[in-house]
Amino acid sequence: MFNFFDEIKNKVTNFDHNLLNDYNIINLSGKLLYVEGHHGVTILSGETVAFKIKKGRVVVEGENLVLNELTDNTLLLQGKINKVEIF
Amino acid sequence: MLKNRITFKVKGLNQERALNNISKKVKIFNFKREDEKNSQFEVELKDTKEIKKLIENQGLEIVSISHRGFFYNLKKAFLRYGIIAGIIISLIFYLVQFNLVLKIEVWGGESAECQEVKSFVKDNMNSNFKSNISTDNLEIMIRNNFDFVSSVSVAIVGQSLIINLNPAVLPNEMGDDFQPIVSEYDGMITEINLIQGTLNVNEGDIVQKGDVLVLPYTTDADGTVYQVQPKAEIYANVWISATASHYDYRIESTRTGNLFTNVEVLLGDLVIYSNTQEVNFEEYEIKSYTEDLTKNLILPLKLRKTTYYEIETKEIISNFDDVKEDKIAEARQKALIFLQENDIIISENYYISEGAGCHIVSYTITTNKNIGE
Repeated sequence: MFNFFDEIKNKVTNFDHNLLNDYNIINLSGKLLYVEGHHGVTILSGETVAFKIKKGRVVVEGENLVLNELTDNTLLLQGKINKVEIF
Repeated sequence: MLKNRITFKVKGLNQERALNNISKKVKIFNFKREDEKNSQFEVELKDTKEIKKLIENQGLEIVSISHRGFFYNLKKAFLRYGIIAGIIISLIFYLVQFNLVLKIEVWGGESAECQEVKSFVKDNMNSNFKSNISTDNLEIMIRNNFDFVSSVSVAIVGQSLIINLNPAVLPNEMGDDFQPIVSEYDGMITEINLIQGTLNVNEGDIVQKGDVLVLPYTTDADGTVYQVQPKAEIYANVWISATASHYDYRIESTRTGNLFTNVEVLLGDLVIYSNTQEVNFEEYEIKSYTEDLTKNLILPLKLRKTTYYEIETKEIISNFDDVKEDKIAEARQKALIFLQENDIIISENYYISEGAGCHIVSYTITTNKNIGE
């Protein structure tokens, strides 16, 4: 089955792929943010959404943010995404 | 639009933690935070039961639940309009079946004949729709196809086709049992015109009511006896008599016109109300009747009315000679009652018999008529 993230990983040959298995985030035109491998949402509001990742935390800031879809390890965020910070 | 989702509005603190726990079991869509305590999200229809338990376990309060999606709307519409649709379908069904004849009933004949007619009608009905059934045609067809039917009426009553048969009656000549001609009057036979049968009387004979005049058979020259319907014209002088009595001494009671009525209300045989007064008349007659007070049988209440009529008694002494003509006229009048419209009176006479204080006038009218019809 086609996996977008795997396709990207395969483009890089001189790198240990095991180090790329923690989480994946993709920002689509600042309107959609898709996350794989999150460990739970910590802040949810129209302006800020934060969630845990392995060994860290991600904070998304924007406007009219809506958690479009949430599963055990994926989430899809919709709205005007101004900033994505990883700590 | 086609997705069937349920929107939950929930209230409570620490929603992020609750949401994380819920999302481990159920996929959550379109989560919106309204304020710190309130938020809403969607789940798939199939997860409804599970999500309710999960929300409660997370200490959140469900504020409202709403549905959207094609199949939900379809289900809702079906439930909402199902009753109306059911009524409409029932109405259509009723209207259709109301216009059908569902039962054929045949009255008036033997059971086997009825069954035969019923089968015939069933086979010859073009359709069960009332509008397609011609009752006139069916009547003609039944009359033409069944000899035992003299007349028939066919009617559609409700959803039944009612066929009323009048069985044909065989004429007497075709039956086995012929009856003799018997005299209907007392009299003396004056003229006989025999048409068929065997005479049992002759001219000049005196007959009484019930005597056989003509026997129902004939005998040919060989002595063979044939049963026939007797026919004859037998004229006789018939005597019609009546009497009027007169008593020289009699007691006559007449009402004075004074009366009163007592009323009683009965429950069964028990008197529960009475409005009675004492009888002050020296002589009186009583007339009493009872009628139901109510038309139902729940309470057997009855009203009994008793009327007391005062009477006075007189001794009447009269001489027969003073009223003789009246008594003769009275006896004649009584005899005339027995005469028929076209009877011709041949003669009239009377005689008076006398007993102890009593005279009886017997008046006899003689007429000539056919006594063997």
